Order: sequence, then C-alpha cells, then structure tokens
Amino acid sequence: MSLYRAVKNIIKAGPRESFRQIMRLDEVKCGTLVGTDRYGNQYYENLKEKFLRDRWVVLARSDYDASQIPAEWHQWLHKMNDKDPNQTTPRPYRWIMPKHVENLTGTSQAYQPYNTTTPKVSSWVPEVKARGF
Amino acid sequence: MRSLIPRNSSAARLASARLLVNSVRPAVPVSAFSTTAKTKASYIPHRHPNKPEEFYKGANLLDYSARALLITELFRGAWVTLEHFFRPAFTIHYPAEKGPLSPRFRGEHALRRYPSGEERCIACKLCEAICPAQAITIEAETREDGSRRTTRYDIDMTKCIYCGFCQEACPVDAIVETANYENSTETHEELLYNKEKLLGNGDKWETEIAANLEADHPYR
Repeated sequence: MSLYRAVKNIIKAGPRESFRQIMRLDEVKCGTLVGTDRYGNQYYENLKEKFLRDRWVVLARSDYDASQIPAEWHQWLHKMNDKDPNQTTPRPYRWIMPKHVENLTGTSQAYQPYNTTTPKVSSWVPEVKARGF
Repeated sequence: MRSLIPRNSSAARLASARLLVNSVRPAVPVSAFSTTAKTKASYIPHRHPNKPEEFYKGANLLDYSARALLITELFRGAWVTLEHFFRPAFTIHYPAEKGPLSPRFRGEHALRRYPSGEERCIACKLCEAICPAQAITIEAETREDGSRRTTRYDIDMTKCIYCGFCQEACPVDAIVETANYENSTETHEELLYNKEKLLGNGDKWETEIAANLEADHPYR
C-alpha cells in the first residue's frame, strides 16, 4: 500500500465512507461513480489506479458476495464492455429474469436437483394373494 | 573511481582485463542505483538490451572489484523491494475488483431461448455425443404440439471440464457457457444441473450471453 495514496483517499472520501470502504474493499479508493444498479451496488472507475484495479464495485449488502452483481454490470466490471449499462436499453424479452438471484448455496433456497422426466420403470407392488385352501 | 587509473602502458593491461571482466559479467554503473529516477533511466541495463556498451562504459577492473566486494547488487535489489513497499499493491481485491474476461470465457452453462420464449434446444444430442467427459445426459420426447424437445437435460458440473465443445457443437446456439464462474456450491448435489436450472441460468445471464456472442461473431 501507499501511505500517501491512503491518506489522500481517506481525506477525499470522509470518515464514514472510508469506514464503509475498509469494511468492503479492505482499503479506501477514490474514483468516479459510473452508476448504481437496482440493488444499490455502486460501480466506480478510476483509470489512474493500477491496471486491473481500475474498476471496482462497492456492494450494497453487508453479507456481500461477488455473485450479487447483475448480468449487465457483470460484463462492465469484467471489462467485456465499456458501455454504461444504465444508458443502454435492456432487451425487451418477457422471459428474462426480472430480479438477479445470487448464488444461494448454503441457504434454504439452494438449488436441489430433481428429475424432469416421468419414471420409465414402475416398481413392483407386492400383493398378498388369498390362499387356495 | 572512473579516472583513478591514468591511461598508460600499465593501464592498457588493465583495459584488456576490463574487457575480459566485462565479457564475463556486465558491470552496472552506480548511478543505476535508483530504478525510479527518470534521468538515470538510460543506464538501466534491461531498458537498453540492444546497447550493452551504454552500461559497460567507464567500468574498469577497480570499479568492478569494488562493486563485487561491496555486493552493491544486494542493496540495489533490496532498494527495489523497499520502493515497492511504498507503492499501491498489484493484488486484485477480489469481490470488489475483478480481472478482465474474454467474451469467449467458458464458465457455468446455460440453455438459451428464442425471443418468443421458446427454448432453443431441439434435442439433437450433438453436445451429448461430443462431450469428452460424458457429463451431459439428454432424453427427448415429442411434445403435445408435435415439436421435438428434451424432457431431460442434465449436466454433471463436477464431470464437466469446461472445454466448450458443447457450445461449438450446438446447431441452434442453445447450450452456451456463460462468463459466470461464481457457481461454487457447498454440496455435490447442487452441481448436478437439470434442465430447469440451465434454462434459469439462460434467463438470468441472457443480456451478457447475447453481448458476448455479438462481440465474438466477426471471428466465426
């Protein structure tokens, strides 16, 4: 870390924001706010930062996880795309999932595999026949 | 230290020794001590690979011996370490900062739909046939409207080697590998994806899948 950079960013961001960023990013960064998604995650860019560290997200939730980033911002953050997702028109298909679902593993809503076909083999049901005498 | 030895007959022998020394081990001027000062940058050997005489110049046997005895390269190396201690780290802070990905990145699988909402997969089983890990299981039936669709499309994500052959084989761009790699789970069962899960992935990532296919299509 650079002490000068850390002090400069803490002064710029203020104590409250600095504390939030230390909890989220483990350091204090300063950049331009490119946009905020529907879930309150804030996406920042500062091209003066180190290469590969010049785009970052401050996730809104305290139990933050990288899978909480929705698809359109995911491609911006991974530098697949330079377009601001808030400026581009979303695809108008009805079937696109309206709400981004994070990786729910370890919770009660976690995916459970199930069979999507009807069973082709019927199991034997034992029947007791009446005796002949 | 450079002009300590006058150029006479005895120095000529030193000069020949200097050539010998220089051919064995390139001596670096003391001015190359700092790796940051831009005025000294022209003396840094690795910045001038085609001009070795730039940093051989002026180093005689006495210079070389002094440097060898005082092991200055040790301190020069330690200085570089010290400089980097006061610079921003190169480490990507993962959940907040993420590395760049190619549009061709092969991550978690998804089944796509046509704009009408109809699923693309026609159960041709080419992906099942080409899968080197045999991770895909497909069963097909004729639907009520007479079209051929899958009733089972299972991928064992723990068998999958993420080679991308399935999406290359697919004639209707139904099975694709998305750029999502945050699909790790706590149990094995959660990685045995069925058709509904894969279609759900498609609905979730369609924005990104479509953008990536669009970015890659001039090269296909």
